[in-house]
Amino acid sequence: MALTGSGHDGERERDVLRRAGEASVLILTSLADGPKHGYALILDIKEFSGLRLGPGTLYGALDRLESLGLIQALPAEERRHPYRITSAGEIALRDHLDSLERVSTVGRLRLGLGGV
Amino acid sequence: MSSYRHARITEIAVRCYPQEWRDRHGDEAIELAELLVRDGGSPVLVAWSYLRGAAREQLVTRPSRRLRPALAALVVGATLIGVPLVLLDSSTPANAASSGKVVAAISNRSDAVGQLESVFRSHHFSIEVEEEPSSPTRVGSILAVKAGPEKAGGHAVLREIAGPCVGGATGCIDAIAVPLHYTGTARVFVGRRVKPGEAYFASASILCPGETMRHGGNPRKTAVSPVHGLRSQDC
Repeated sequence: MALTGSGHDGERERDVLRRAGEASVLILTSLADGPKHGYALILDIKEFSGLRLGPGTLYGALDRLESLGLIQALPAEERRHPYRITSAGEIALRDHLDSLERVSTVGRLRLGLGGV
Repeated sequence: MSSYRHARITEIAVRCYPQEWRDRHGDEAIELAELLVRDGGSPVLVAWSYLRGAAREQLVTRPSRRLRPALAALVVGATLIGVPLVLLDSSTPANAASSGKVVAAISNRSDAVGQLESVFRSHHFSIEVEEEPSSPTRVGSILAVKAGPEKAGGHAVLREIAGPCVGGATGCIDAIAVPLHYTGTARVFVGRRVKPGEAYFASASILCPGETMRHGGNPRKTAVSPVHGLRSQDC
């Protein structure tokens, strides 16, 4: 299933990404600044989020994101397969981050921490 | 743990994935494991991550058909890396022996035949699954079960279990209970999408305009209008 489009389709993509799980969001975020292969993804995600993705989780999420059309596999470099984010993946990530931001703003306000 | 041993465990864990996954990711996965361990990662956690991924992959690829390999992957891996089996016990499916019946259920209508065949084959039942054209609401459901002659001492009772139809209508059959020691033969008919112009199975309660009846004592007659109360989306 490939996801395309924007507008109210974005809601569908956001939902898909929400169901796809946290690992998928981390992977899309990592790929947002350029293609990476598995090991580079794990290192980058560890650096920006402090979370270490297990390799089994990583491959499961990569396959899921690829089947959703949110990322694309690039030609292999020896044994490594780099991936890049697709335009549908960028839309899904942007919508998801917007949603998180809204939740974050409300949560901070309610905790008396002020808006972001 | 020696580097040889953890490399071996990783290899075994990767072997638990389906062949197509191994063809695509296998070499990279082994290299990635080596790099993660070299960076100070725990070989046990790396292997365990692959085993959980393999179990998920087996279940996703073909849910019912892959249940055994998936569980086997977890059990073999857990044994290798020293996780007590009791920790996995809660994820083991209900044992058919405790109920005396095997329930072959359809959870994915687009793979109804595969799911039923998988259960029948794994219990060595002589039950064939055939597809028959059906009305849209019955696609992926069991249309009929025809039991054949019994072998000596066989158990005849195949019980149909009702479930919701596509679109929310009721009265469809989405599972069949087979006695654990069933020795008879049977054929199970599953609904499939109709080709243009093809006559197909429909029950009186779900007839739509243009549907042709093949059962119910009114063969090959075409319904002219929906049965009263039929929701439009069912057609």
